[in-house]
Amino acid sequence: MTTVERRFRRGVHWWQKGERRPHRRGADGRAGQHRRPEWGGGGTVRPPPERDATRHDRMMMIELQEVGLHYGGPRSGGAAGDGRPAGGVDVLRGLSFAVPAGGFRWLLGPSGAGKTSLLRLLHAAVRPTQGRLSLLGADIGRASRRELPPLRRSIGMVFQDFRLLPHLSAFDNVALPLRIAGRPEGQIRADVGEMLRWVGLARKTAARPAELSGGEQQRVAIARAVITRPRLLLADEPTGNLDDAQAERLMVLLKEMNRLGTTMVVATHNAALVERHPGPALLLEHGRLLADG
Amino acid sequence: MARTARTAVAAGRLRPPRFDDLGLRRALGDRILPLMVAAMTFLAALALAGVVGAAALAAHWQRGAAAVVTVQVPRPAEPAADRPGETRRARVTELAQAAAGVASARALGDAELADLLRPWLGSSAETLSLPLPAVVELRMALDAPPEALTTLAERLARAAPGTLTESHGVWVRRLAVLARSLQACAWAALLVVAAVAVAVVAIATRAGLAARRQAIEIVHGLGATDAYIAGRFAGRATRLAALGGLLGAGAALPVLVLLAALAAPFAGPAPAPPWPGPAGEVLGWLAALPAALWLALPGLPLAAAAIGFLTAQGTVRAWLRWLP
Ligand SMILES: Nc1ncnc2c1ncn2[C@@H]1O[C@H](COP(=O)(O)OP(=O)(O)O)[C@@H](O)[C@H]1O
Ligand SMILES: [Mg+2]
Repeated sequence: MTTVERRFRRGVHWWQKGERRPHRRGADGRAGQHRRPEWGGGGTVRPPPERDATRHDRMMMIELQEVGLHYGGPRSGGAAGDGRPAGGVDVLRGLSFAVPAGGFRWLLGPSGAGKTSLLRLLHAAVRPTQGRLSLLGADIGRASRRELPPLRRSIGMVFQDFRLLPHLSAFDNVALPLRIAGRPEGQIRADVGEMLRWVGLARKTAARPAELSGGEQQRVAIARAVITRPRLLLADEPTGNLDDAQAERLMVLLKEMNRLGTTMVVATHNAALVERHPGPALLLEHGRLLADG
Repeated sequence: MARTARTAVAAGRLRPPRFDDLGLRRALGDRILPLMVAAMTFLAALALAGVVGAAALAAHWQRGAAAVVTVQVPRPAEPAADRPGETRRARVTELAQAAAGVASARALGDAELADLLRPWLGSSAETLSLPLPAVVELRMALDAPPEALTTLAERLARAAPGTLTESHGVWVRRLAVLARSLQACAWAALLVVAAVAVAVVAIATRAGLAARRQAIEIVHGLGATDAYIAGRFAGRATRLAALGGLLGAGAALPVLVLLAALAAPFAGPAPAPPWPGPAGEVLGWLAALPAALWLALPGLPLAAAAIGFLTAQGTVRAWLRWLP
């Protein structure tokens, strides 16, 4: 077992331990919920689709009905004015699927298929321009602006381009979601330190993103996404800057988190990775869902 | 050695004294905004001095000059028209003393009259045998209605035709109107200065928002509320505006003291310095500042801070509405 693997194990142990901490947000019966890992044990057996487990207490974490996303309309979904010409593009069309609590989905499709756009929707970073999207039971199309921040705080996101704050150290970047959530500083120090050890960056806590390699930045981004122990974890090409060994370790971590109950959607176009870790997948092409499961 | 130094640096970076997640220390710099606010505060202090000074002068003129009325009674020794048994001088004095709105009335003696005339007639004033009018000096009550004087003048002219009641009231009224206009202008200047300060803070905040747009979007994506983000900006803007306010008010203080010293002869007797020597003199000058200014001056940095806080909050919250 390599040191990093041992670190991951320790980290997972910590994560597990954290699950029982009284300050855990989302203590709303989640801990007691029935969960079933969706991963094949040896990596070759495809897990049974969770539709078979029609337990009504398995809340749908993500639910889309005929969801469409149009960029560049009178009000583009993102921040003010993307500078795109009016008229815009339908990036996503007629998407309908659901992911139950504790579920896992690969999100596959060629570059430009709309994977990042779909993850933005699932992160409540944009509102659907068509159809109905519900996250953690909240209707995103109808929710008020006030309702969205708490929702986002229970969703972790690993961005394709990391989105680290350039003027903050690795430590402060990972601590950011906890500080936004108003956690006490003493607890933040302990948790962030452990988390950075977990992703193998214990010696880089004070480094700014510009002083880190692509893979190290990606690990900071991963640490920041999981530090709050989100109920839903979204990852956009999280292995894009990792070598094979690191990617493999990340998959061990993600699987473990999923086993412990975190719902996951992981976008990738790394076919080899999916082959090694088969699981239910959403296949996107030209903004349409080609396959689910 | 080097190692401990490095850990100390690392520790410092681990937990900065004020966690600046949006990088506002650079995006909302500590030069331009405080300087602009300092300039605004300086102007506001001058405008305030205008408000207070104009009010003090108006009150002083009204209380002092307006209160004195001179009545000239020609041929004072002849009998009064409405009561032939009395001289015109005695009758006018008596009527004036009894009139409503008059605090006191007194006929000037010959010596006093001569004193008044000496500038015009020289030392021969006392021995001159010109027929001089009697002069009665009235002090109006402070709360006397303006029409009291006209009523009195008519009454006196009936008792002793040819009597002239000369009020400085017209002048005083004109001066009072002038003072009130000055005061209104000073208030307007104060409002304009406040509006410019709001604009300055809003522009600085907008520049900061533009510079930190990515960071804001990231923090927003991590679940920060509008209150969190607006609070970061408002905290920074409040500190910078308060700093500017302190600088501006501090710079205005010597100017105001100088103005107060210049205005002192017009505003009544100057208080004696509390003790001799330069320190006492400076204290005496400070004491010459009207009390209202002493209350308003510390209010300026507070007002600047409030403008910084409210403007930043409003600007950031309006901007954030573009994010979902
Ligand atoms: N903000 C935007 N405004 C307009 N078009 C966009 C925007 N973001 C992405 N697109 C377009 O949407 C399509 C899907 O992009 P994306 O979701 O990034 O795909 P993927 O992540 O699968 O590569 C692309 O054609 C891209 O040009
Ligand atoms: Mg993408």
